Amino acid sequence: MLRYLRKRLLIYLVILFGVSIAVFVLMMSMPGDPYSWMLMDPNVDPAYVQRKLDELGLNDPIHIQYIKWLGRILHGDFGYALEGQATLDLVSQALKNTLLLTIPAFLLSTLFAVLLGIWSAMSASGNKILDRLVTLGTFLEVSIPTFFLALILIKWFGYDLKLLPVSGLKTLRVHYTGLRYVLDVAKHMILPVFVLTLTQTSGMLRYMRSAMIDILNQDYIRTAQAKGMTWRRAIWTHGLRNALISVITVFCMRLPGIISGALFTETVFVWPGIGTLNYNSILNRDYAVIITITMILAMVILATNLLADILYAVADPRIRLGGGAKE
Amino acid sequence: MKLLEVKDLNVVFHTILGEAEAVRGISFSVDRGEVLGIVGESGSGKSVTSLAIMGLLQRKKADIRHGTILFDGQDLLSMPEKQLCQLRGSRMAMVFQEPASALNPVIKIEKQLSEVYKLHEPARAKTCHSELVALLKRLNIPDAEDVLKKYPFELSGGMKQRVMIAMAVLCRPDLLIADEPTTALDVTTQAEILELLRLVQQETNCAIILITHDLGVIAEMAQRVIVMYRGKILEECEAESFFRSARHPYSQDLLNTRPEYFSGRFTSIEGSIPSAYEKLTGCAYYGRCRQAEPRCAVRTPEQIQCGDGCVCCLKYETGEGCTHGG
Repeated sequence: MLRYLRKRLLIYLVILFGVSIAVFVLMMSMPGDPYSWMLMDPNVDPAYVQRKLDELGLNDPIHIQYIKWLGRILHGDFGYALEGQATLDLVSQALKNTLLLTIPAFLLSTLFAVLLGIWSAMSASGNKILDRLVTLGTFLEVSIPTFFLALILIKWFGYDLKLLPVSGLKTLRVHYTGLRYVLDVAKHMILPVFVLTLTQTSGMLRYMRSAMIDILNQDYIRTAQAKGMTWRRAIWTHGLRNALISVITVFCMRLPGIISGALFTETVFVWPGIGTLNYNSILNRDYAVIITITMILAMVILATNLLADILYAVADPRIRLGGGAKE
Repeated sequence: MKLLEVKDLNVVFHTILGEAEAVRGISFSVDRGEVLGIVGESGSGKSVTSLAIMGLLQRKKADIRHGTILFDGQDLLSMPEKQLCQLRGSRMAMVFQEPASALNPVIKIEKQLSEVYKLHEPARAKTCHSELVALLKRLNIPDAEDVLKKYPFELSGGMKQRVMIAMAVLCRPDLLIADEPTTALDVTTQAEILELLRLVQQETNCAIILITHDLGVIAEMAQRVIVMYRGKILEECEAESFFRSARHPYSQDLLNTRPEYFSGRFTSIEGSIPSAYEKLTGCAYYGRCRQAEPRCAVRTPEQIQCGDGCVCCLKYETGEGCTHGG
C-alpha cells in the first residue's frame, strides 16, 4: 500500500509539472496583455514602455519566462495581483470566504444525499410514492438554474418576508464583534448555503439511490435475512458499506468544488469568494491570480484522486489485499 | 406433529411481462430428522418454494396467493417479520447455491459467523471464538483460526460453502434448507460438501430439504423425493422406490437421462419446460410426455395417493399400476 502511494505521489508530481507548463503557456500565448491598458496614457514614451517590459522580463522568450516563474513559485512567491496585493493573500482570503459556504453545503448535501438515497431506494421496492417524489424532486432541482433558484429565494426571504439578508458576507456599515459578528455572518450564510446544498444534493442522491437499489438485490442481503435479520437491519449493517464503496468516486469528484467555489451562487449573493475572484481576474487578465488559482485547483484535484484511491483501499478489502475482484 | 407442513402453496410473481405463476398449489411435509430431496429442472419452482418457507421472497415482487406453511405448528406466512426473524437462523436455516455472492464481500468471516449468535444468543456472541474454530474444524477446514480472519474473496468456493454451512448450523436448527448447495462447486468438492451435510444431519438430527437437479445427490442423501415440474409436484415417494420404479412419466424420463445409461449418445427429454407466463390447461408435462394421451391436453391431473407416496398423472387415475414393482 505504501509503495503504491509513493508511486502515485511521484506520478502526481509529474502531472502537476505538466499542468503548470500548460497553464503558463496557454496564458502567455493569449493575444494581448494586461499592461497595455495600464499604459494607455499617450504621454508615456513608447520606448520607455519597451525598456520597462524588457527590464521586467516580459519580452523574454516564453520558456525563459516559464523557468523564471517556476523558480519564483518554488520559492513561494506567487506574484502580485494587478491591484497590488500579494496574490497569495488575495486568494487565501477569498478561499476562506468560499469555504465558509462550500464546506457546510458539502457536508449537508452529502448527508442528505446518502440518507435520502437509501430511503428512496428502500421504498422503490415498496411504497413507490416516496421514491417517485424523491426522484421528481431531484429532477426538478436539476432542471432549475441555480441563479434562478437563488433569485427566487432572495425575493421570498429577503425582500417579501424580510427574514434574511439578500447579499454579502456581513451587514455593511455596522461593526459587530464577537458572538454578534458570528451570528451576523451565519445569517448571511443561510441562503447561499441552502442553494448550494440543494444543487449539490440531487446528483449524488441519484447515484446513491441506484447504488443502493443494486445492493438490495445482492445475495448477501438475503443471507443476512436468513441469519435472522430483518430486511431493514440487513440493509443497514450489510448493504450500506457496500453501497458507499460504489459512490466513493462520485463523492471525491465533488470535492474540488469545495475549493473552486460556486460562481453563480457567489455572484448572485455578492459573496467575496474564490469563484468571484477567479471570474474577475479572467476579465481583468490578472495572470498571477489566474495561474495561482488554477494551480491550487490542479493540486486539489490530484489530491482528491489520491484520496479516492485511499478510500477505496480502506473500504474494500478486495482492493486493499489485492487480486480478489477478478476471482 | 410434522416439523414442516406446506399446504396448497401458490406463489405468483408480478413482472413487467405479466404474472408468472412460479408455484402452483403444492403440498408436502417434512418430518423431524428427515432428508427430503426436491428435484426438478430450472424453472420448476424449487428455489421459490424454499425461499417461501424461509420468508425470503421479496414481498413486493412475489405474491403468495394462497396456502399455509406450518413450522412446528406455527403459521409462518401470517407471522410478523420480527417473530419470523427469531426462527430464521436459529430454528431454520438455509445454505445458498452461490457461496461466492451469498457472503458479504467486505466483512471478515468471523464477524459474519458470530453475527448469528449476536442475533439469537447475544450472551454467546463475545466468547464464541473458540466455538467457531471448533465448528470449522469439524467441517474439515484445516486452518480454522486463519480462515476466521479472512475475507470471503480469499477463500476457495468449497471453503466458502463450508463457511455457509457453519453459519447455518451454528444454532443447531431443526430444519436446514440446502438450495443446490453443490451446483457451483467442482465435482470433488461436491462430494465433500455432501459428506459434511450428512455429518451435520447425523450430529444435530436436523431435517434437511435438499434442493437439486442432480439425481446422484438425491440417491446419496435423500430418504424421500419430490419431483417438481413447472410449479407442481408430479410425484412424491420414498427415494428407494423412486430409483427402483418411478411412476410418473417425467420421473421415468429423468431417470433415463442419467449418464449411467450412456450408450454412445446421452438421452435427453425433448423440448423445454413451459414458461411460467403461459396459462396451462391439462398436464404441464403434456408437450414433452412420450406416454401422453389426448385427454392429457384438456384435463388437469389431480394428486393421487399411490403406494408409499402420490403421483399426479391421469395414467394412475384408476389406481392401477400404483403398487411398486408393478
